[in-house]
Amino acid sequence: MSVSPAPVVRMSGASIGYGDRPAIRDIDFSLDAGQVVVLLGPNGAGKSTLVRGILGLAQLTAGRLELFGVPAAQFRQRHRLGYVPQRNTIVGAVPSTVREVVSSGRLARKRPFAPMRAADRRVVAAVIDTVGLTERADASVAKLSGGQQRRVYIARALAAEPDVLVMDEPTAGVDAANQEILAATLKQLVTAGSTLLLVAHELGPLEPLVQRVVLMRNGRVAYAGPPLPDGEGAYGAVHHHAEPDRHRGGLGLTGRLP
Amino acid sequence: MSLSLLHYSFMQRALLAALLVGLTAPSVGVYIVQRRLALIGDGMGHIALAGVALGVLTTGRPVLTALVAAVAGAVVIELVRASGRTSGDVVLAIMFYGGIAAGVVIISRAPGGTPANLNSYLFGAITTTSRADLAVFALLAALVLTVTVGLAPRLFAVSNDEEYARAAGLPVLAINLLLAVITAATVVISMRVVGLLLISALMVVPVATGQLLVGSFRNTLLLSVGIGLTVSVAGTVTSYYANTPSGATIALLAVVLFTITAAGTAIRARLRRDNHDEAEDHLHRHGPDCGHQGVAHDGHIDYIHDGHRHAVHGAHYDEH
Repeated sequence: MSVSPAPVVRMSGASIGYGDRPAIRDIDFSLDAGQVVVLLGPNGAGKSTLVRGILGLAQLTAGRLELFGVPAAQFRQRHRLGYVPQRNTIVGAVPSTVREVVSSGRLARKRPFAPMRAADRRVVAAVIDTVGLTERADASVAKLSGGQQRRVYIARALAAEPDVLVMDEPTAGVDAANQEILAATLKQLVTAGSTLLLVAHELGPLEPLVQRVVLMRNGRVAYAGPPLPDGEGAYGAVHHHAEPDRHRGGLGLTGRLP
Repeated sequence: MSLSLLHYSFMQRALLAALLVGLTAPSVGVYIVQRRLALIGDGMGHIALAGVALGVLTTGRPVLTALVAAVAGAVVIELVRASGRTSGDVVLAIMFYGGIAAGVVIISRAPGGTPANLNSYLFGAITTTSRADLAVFALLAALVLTVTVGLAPRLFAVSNDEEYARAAGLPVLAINLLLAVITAATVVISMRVVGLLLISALMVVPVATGQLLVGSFRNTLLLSVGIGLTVSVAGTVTSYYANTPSGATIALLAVVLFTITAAGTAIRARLRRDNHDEAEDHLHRHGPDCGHQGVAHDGHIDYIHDGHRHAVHGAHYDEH
């Protein structure tokens, strides 16, 4: 008899925000192991807030949030969630190499004073190879293109050998060719059994990977289910709507659910 | 030039103090610069001044009271930062000015005290470093270096990307507090040598110089420590022979070295560019089927790449 594992994320009636102002209210959301889920929606819909709540970067002000079956407040295995932030600029002011930045991701797995060992360095080298940056491993991150920098952050998250990758706008600001490279990298991870939670404006080349879409609008879930057969056009209508509340009750998308 | 200066025990102590500062200030400074908080050392120096004055007034041990004041100030600064209040920088400014004003007022109440007594702390008075001072500085330097070496990867991770470090479950507040405390310790080590008003110079300028020359964090750290040691010892020796104040001489040397390096790297980059902009390094080879849109431009093809136009030039790409 096998017991199915607890969902990676289970959120019910959750409000998440900063200070005492929730940016999203009363959200139900779940992510199962092995799934590829994308959060879609326009700017300000609450996609990033939801993700930041899961990562412990924004406060849960009401409702419940469990990670791997453990209430978020008691969850101590943060290394199981690999975070790939949306960054268009280098954060630290001092130059650092791809290997240095990726190595910092390994620390999530280490005790406070534990030194990096040969095994850690092998993992770092392997994940740099996974994102195709082996030849640039000792280059300064600041000298890389936007798409390459995004891959550095993916490698940093992978260095902790997480169960889930949480990516905020992985393709934003990345040109078409580099989006294809990113999609290929992610496909490799999905094939190897990774769970992915992606935030996106639009699916683009990631579309074939996605198993479930959660469409957010005004801090609420407007649609959750499989990708719509019409593809991006169906979601695209949401972006450009002049009166966002006109189709309350599922944006008219419910009729198309399988 | 003879080494006659080494015959004087006060100069031996001065050079040892200079070595300790040259070693510790950039080791801590590299993380401060990385966090874009280059001026925080200045602020801690201001707060330490109130501690110095209290020490002069009460115990006659200004180094210890300065340490207490700087550490307390550092912890409060970090907690204010962590609370994320938008008024945080104003709170810091109030603490800094409060510190320096309290220092001047308190010292004026000390027996025979005048604000002039503070000069040796404001601008450094390396040759008055006592044996007891040196022992305290050595102890603090050992603490600072233990933390910066032992926790180097964590300090790097948190300073490089605090949000990521928090999401990864690293103890961000604890690491930031520790960095604040060792910054305060460095301020106290440095106050006899370069003075409280010039402390930031030795934390920041060697790092700013180092990062112009190398492309990795590790090499920036090593190079800036080398520069810190060089300018602090050379500045101390120069001040002995030229009869100039040590702290300002050291800081000035660091600034001159930075200026020469910055000018040199700018000229080198200019020559190498040969009047054109080289595109960022990339492995990708542009071609008809590469997926990047090609645009005809003056008899060649520019490829649109991440919003730039790249054109082949020898072994690299130019920005067009």
